[in-house]
Amino acid sequence: MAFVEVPHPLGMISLQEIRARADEAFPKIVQMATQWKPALTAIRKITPAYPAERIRFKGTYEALNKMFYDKGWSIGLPVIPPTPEKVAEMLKGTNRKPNEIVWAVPPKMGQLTVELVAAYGVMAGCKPEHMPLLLAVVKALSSTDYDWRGSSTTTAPTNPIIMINGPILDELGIGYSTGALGGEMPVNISVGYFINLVGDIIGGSVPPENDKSTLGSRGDLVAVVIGENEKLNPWKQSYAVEQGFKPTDNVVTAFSAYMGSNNVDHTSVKGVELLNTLAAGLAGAASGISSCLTQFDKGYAVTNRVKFAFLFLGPEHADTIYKDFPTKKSVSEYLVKKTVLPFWMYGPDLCKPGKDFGPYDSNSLIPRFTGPEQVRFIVTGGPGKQSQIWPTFTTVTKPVSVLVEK
Amino acid sequence: MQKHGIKVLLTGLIAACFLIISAFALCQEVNAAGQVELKVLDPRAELMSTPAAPINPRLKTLEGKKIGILNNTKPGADYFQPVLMQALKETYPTIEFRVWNISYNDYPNKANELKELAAWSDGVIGLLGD
Repeated sequence: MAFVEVPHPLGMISLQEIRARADEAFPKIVQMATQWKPALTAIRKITPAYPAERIRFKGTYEALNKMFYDKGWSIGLPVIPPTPEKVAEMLKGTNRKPNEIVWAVPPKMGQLTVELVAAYGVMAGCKPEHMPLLLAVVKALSSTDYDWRGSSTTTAPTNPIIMINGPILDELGIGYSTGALGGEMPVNISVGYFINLVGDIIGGSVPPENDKSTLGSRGDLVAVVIGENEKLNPWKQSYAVEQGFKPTDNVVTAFSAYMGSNNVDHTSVKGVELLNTLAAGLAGAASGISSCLTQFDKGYAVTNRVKFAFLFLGPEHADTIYKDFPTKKSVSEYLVKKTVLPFWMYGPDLCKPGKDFGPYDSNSLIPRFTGPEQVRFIVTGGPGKQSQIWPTFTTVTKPVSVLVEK
Repeated sequence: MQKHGIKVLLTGLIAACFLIISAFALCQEVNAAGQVELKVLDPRAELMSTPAAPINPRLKTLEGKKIGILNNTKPGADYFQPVLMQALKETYPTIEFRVWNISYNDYPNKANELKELAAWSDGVIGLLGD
């Protein structure tokens, strides 16, 4: 392929600078388009993805971990050695064949076999009974709606978010109450670590070559994995049930998000008051890239960015809201209405209200969203007056929900 | 004499078994120096290879050609696009353009549009703004 290099960046520069770069690039583009001739390149030999090679190691566990890191087989935290015995034990947790390829992981399109799912499960500290959950997570992340390629190669600090519903929460001891996103939640942490081991080592989204994240985030190390606190959900309808699953189904929902922010509201007594402070957080979430009047079903465009967000409502916040908003839809509708910014606060070109919006000026309040499906929430965590706001990664990503199949 | 020989043989067998068991244990367990000897899986994956496809022949000129513009919809591409099209039009007055605005992230969902682009165009310019 022929390339004409135009110096980075093209964003955040003046039209004059863009014109100068275009003038400089133009003759080179014409030359490439009309004169470039490709060289013959060797086609790489295709080798089978299974079985993984076994290697012999002698040394200390510290040296083993150093070797894994030096070879690019781990991402900085210690791993449990994936011995053939431990991997075989993990494989007992599923009926799937070890040679089955479950995902060609972007950007390098590494072929993730069931055997390698088990190997990474071992490395991350998972147990054999976690295998169905790991395979469901892989299925959700591999969906084109999730957009793993965009999420794992962007300059943005994206976080894989995994939300879990169903009896599996208690069966496996998945954290969904006090401190669910923190420490002492071995299943949540191990599954989150597994995700990033797979993404970095199989997919090759390693900074700076493929993962271009400007600052990165802790979500690049241990992805966000959280259960819904279904027992303390005052609406008695979990997110999975809202999406059409049965209460007895075990469901994994995945989406890609920018950094989350916290809502600390100790003072609101009424649901309306609390939703107003949550709307303030939503309005400012993912600032700089968010568009106005976004539509959930409309594709990616400069004027349709960050088209949904998730709230993780603490149970006490949920109770306060429920008093005034007895349906989940009414909560989302109110937040869509109240999540507004004055026109001047949107980034240049990101907010272009159509004629149907009516007249507006720089101080006009313009909503970020247009439909209730764009503001979703789960109830999670334990006692306290805290909730979290997770704005979605800006591209085509949508929440993907899949069954955990045993 | 025969009895003595059997005794020596048995002693030898016991000693050999002891050595084998010790060696096996050393392979599996951490020894006094914190050393381990074990087999581990190489966790790298084979990369998926796409079938080899010939590279399209280059255009000898852009004069009179239909050029599809594939705009990735990121900032900057919108500015660059009219400038590029104008410059090409000035150099090749009979050139024809059509623009497709599709994010690369959306390619899997826009297969029909991409086929349409390929069918219409003599050549394609991808605009990757950011």
